[in-house]
Amino acid sequence: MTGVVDALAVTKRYGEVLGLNGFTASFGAGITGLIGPNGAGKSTLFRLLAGQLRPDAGTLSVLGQPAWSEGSFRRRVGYCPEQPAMYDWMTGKEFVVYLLRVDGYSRAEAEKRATQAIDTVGLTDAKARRVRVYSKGMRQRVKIAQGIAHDPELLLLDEPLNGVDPVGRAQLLALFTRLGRSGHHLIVSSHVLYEVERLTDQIVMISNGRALAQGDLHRIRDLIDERPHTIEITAREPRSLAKLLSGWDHVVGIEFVGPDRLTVRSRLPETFYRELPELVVREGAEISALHSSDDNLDAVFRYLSEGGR
Amino acid sequence: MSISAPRYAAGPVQLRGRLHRTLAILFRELQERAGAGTWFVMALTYATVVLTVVLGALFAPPGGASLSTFYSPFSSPAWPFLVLIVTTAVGSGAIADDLGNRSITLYLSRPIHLTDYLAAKASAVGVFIALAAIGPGVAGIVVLAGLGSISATLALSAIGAFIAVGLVTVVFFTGLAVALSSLSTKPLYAGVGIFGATFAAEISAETIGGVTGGTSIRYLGPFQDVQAAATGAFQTGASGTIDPLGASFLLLGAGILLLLGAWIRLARVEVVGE
Amino acid sequence: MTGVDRLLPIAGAAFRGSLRGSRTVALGAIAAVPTLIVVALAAANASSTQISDASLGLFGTLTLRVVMILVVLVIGVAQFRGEIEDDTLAYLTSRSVPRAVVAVGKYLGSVLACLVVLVPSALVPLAVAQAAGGSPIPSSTAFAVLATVILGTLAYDAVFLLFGLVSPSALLLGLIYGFLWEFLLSLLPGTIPRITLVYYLHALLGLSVTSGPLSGYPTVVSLGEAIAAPLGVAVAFVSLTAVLFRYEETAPLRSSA
Repeated sequence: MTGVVDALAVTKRYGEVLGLNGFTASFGAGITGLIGPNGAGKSTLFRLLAGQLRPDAGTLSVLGQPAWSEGSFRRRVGYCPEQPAMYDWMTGKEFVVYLLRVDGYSRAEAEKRATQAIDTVGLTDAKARRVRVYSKGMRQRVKIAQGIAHDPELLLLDEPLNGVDPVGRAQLLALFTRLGRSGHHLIVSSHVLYEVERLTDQIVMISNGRALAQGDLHRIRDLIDERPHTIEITAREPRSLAKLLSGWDHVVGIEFVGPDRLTVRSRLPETFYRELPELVVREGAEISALHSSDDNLDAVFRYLSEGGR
Repeated sequence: MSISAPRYAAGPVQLRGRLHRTLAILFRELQERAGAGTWFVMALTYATVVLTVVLGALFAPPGGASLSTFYSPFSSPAWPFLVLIVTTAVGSGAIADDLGNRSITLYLSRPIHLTDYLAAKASAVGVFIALAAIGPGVAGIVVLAGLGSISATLALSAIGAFIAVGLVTVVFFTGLAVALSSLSTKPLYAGVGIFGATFAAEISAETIGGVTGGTSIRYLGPFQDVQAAATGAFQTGASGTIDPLGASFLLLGAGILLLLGAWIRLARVEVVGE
Repeated sequence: MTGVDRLLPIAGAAFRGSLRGSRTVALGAIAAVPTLIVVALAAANASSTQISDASLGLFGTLTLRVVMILVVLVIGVAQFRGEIEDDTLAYLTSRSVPRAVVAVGKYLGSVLACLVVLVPSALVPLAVAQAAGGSPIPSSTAFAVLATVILGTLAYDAVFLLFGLVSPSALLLGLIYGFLWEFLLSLLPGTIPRITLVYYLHALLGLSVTSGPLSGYPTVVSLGEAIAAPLGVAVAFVSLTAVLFRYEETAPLRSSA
């Protein structure tokens, strides 16, 4: 593997809890999304990449260097951690200037770069206020500012859109896209698939500390779509409804799970959801509840982790 | 995707009384504070005090041990430090932790009274301080009685004296710990405050009292008060400058006032999120 | 830029971060106690000798043994422990600065912050005693007091810096060290007190001050040894901290993963 970041069988334990469990993946050039549900191991991976934690087993390299090492190569890496904590007693600008100076920039250069970075993330008006009074969204922006201020080759963004309002999200996504197009490498984690979809097609899916899938998002989606979609319906007359649904080509299975409930398996969920209301209106079928347990990212991960690949 | 008509189904629930809720917080707090550090200091306290009591009685002057023999732990320089370290270990985070991680919001949004919350926290802190301030003395006496070195009457009197002095110590230091813990979101500051306040008062009393010869200023020193209470309880016959009964009431009163201060402070706390 | 150039911003931030908000008020309150006692004595019409002796005696009993330990404990432990608990250390450890520079920078900043609190705490009572008509205090005594504060701060801060890095129970560890080890062992007979720092600080006072309450500390060590011991402890503990920090994981033990 010769990616920007290469992980080979990386394991990290927190006592008896496994943060990463033999994680193997290669993150290439450009923007890569790291997708996984909460507790999947995304932040553990970021902490390992940022040199905060040491792998218990396996090898992890960042820009060709071991992740658990210090030195000048870290100037080529920017890190925006997930946690909201910062030096609350500093102003936003002081915070960015301080970290640039720690990186070795002169005061004048640090001031100049900090001002640019703060302007870039849209925090100019609040740069002289103490971080203590910042909202969560403002904290995210200043964290991103310190991550990009030294113009790193690789930017690690751990859940960078958490707590940011919709307008801010659009602005930050545009910023990440710009950075990606200008030759920077970005690894962006999120548990919200559509956020990452707007940024990149290249993803790494992680669950329970393992990489489940890696590559083009659309190919992974196609793989997922091969699996029938399950919908649970609560209806006054489930048998009559089943009879009507059984005539649909894309419905591949119906099962009665209670006196007023049935589960339907469809290969084309979008078609199913489009046609069901028409059926209800046309046939007068009474449906009191409709629930799909796997119409979310968790279900995708469950599917992949159960060996659906 | 999920579509269903909203239906509120929760019926009336019979809640258990305030005592049960207070006990729930108390047991949680006892669990939280019973860490390795606490037991280490506790073991150190027991070893020091039990040895002092037992050796003091075994090597008592001719005539054998009397009640005043068991005053020895209170004149030892180690005792105040050990009690203070236990107080800090169990008390500094009692409320500061809840303020720091904002779990106090979760407590106070439940159907409990602030008084219940504070009582539970203070009780938990008090239990540990009692274990350090009363337990070792009583344990030493039990060892001596078990060895047959002292009579049952003397043992009972000594245990009573240890409990009496221990209780005023517990009330004062519980109040101090809880009050200072309620002032900070960091146990570190509360812990240092416990030491700072105690020693500042103690050394001020000693220095000013020593220079001016005034007796009333000596009541300012918590350990001087404890020592005075002990001289009374153990009938040492020493005519100190502090009245034992007055010192005991002062410690009790100060402890209760400090708890009241913590209550007032917490009643004004506003917890905000990020 | 060299590592030394990066020390300054880190030391500056450690200094500013140590003296802020309610923490400063609390530390200031503790540091003000010796002065308040001297003021109280002056108000109580104590004699000039009594006021002078008390102001010097308080340095040995209160400032050195209690105020210094508490102030340095709060500031020293918080350098690493505060950042580990707040989860802010990632901002420093993910940068290109060597970790040893971070450790030394934090140490220097925290020493300076401690001295800002402790030097007035030690010297103002002497000045107040003079102003209140106390007997003149020789400048050599004041210098000895100042040197003791500086050496004590250098040594204790290094110890507490290490405690803060390696132990989640750094406060408890610091209190046990500061009040059981340093206090009780110094009371024991023989050579045992020589394993405490306070022994050398007392020795420095005893060897430099010729009269008054601070001259009464018996010692068998020379002035050079009395100065070298705290400095040696400081260098050893800061070096140990820098080495351990290099290999220390700096994220909280349990991650949100």
